[in-house]
Amino acid sequence: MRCKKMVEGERAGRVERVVLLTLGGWLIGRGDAQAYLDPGTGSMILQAVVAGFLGLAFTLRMYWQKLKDLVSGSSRRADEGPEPSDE
Amino acid sequence: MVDQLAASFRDPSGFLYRQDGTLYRQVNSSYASDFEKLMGSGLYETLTGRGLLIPHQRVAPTNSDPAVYAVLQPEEIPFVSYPYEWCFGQLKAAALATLEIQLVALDHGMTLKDASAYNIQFVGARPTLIDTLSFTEYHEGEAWVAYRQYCQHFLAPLALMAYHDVRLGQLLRTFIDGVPLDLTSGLLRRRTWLRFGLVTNLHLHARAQGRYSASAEGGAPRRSTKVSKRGLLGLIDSLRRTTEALRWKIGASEWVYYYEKEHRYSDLALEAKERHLDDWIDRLAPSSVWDLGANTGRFSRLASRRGIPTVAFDIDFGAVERSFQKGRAENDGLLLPLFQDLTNPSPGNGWSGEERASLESRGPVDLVLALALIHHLAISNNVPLGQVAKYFAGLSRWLVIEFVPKGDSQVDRLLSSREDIFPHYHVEGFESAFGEYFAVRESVQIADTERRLYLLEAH
Repeated sequence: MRCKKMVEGERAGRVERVVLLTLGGWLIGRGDAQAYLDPGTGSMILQAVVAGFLGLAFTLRMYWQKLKDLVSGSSRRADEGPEPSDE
Repeated sequence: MVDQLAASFRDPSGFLYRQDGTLYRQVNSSYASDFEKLMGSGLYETLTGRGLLIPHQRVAPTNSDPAVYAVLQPEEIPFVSYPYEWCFGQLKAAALATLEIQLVALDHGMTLKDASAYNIQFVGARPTLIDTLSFTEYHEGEAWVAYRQYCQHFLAPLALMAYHDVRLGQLLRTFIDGVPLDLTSGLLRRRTWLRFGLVTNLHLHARAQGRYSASAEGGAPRRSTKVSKRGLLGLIDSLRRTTEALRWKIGASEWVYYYEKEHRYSDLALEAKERHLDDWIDRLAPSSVWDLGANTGRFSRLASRRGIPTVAFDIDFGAVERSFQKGRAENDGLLLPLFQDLTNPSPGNGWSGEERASLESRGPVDLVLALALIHHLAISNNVPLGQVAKYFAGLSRWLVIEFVPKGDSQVDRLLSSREDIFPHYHVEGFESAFGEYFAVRESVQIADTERRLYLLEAH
């Protein structure tokens, strides 16, 4: 009796895993119909973590560059007058 | 009869095929909306205008495949080469071109769905994407599905070449989908842990792959992999800066500065050799040339400067690198320098041994140059002269070959450390062995040397 219960329990567990894996596979596959490469779970997770940080760094660098351009642009204008224009 | 190319089977979006000698790319109906977006968003014009994507003509479907949406006739690449035949600079240029294409694609609402080094080909010194079906619509929040492939195909081999040994680029010949990151991380020196871009994209990436691999305990858990557009741009920018920072300094190898310092020719001999070659190339007017053992391409350029697509093969990474850098500086669209060890030429590789073509199957070519090469094959590698002749006859109808006899300082140097087991290595032996496969059309003594130059035509 006990033994039978265990077997049933194992079977139920197996069914649950199959359902979960299928659902998981469907969720992964659903993202992009054209993705034919396996992007790799580890690669995607690492990318998500790293991109969060890099996005911030990228934005900060962009603003820093704009600030530098602004400062050097205003000092150049002060020295040399207005920049030539194509128009 | 549709003849689908052996390398074109992975992506269900379409495939390449040859019909009556012409190359076509079929676009399948499943890729229709992405194809229209590529053509309609301005992405195609921008990329082809900058030489980053192969141009094509849309033609009427030439086959009755029910999956067909459109058929394209792409411009053909003069010679298809593979990453394991590229020098460091070529692999790096191909990597940076891939990232540039991805940035332009994102600007047009699309993204690269793959980042395979095999999708990049060189037209002379210029890298260009040949897979028109590599783009898919970008949706905000999507991670880059080709991130792993970029790291394996480009960043890992480049880091190994830059930080460890340039010969490790040859791992790409074994690992057809790029160098595994766990192997890369294990091989890379400790000081690479001080480089942020290498730590994240290679070392930690390798660990993440190990931790979340399907075979890991508990399987691969689902985690959110949402990446904002800003994050994606930051990632591409980080990959670009990390790749850009990788450098390989050409060492003073035996062959790199051969024509400046080491060679045994007088100016008189060099000029005489060039004059004969000029004359023969003009008379033959070949449509394609392979220069085997080209060094930095001094003689290959006699052909490419006449507008002939020329491949300059050499075994020395430094010589190939110098030739490539010179081509880049001159914006050379005709000369392609490549690494090739002729004692072990590129085999058929990948799925069914056909996905990546062998060197020989990428021929035949109109003219082969084999200058100051024969002694390396016959003496250093013990290949009997008859077998050298047979191999060359399979590559080309015309052959310009230089025979370097015993008594020449270069041959004597090869024999100085070994027993001379080559009793047939002399002009008569050479002419007799090559006579089996070729007819001598002309032969001249190179002034100021003991060497002879032959113009041969295969029987």
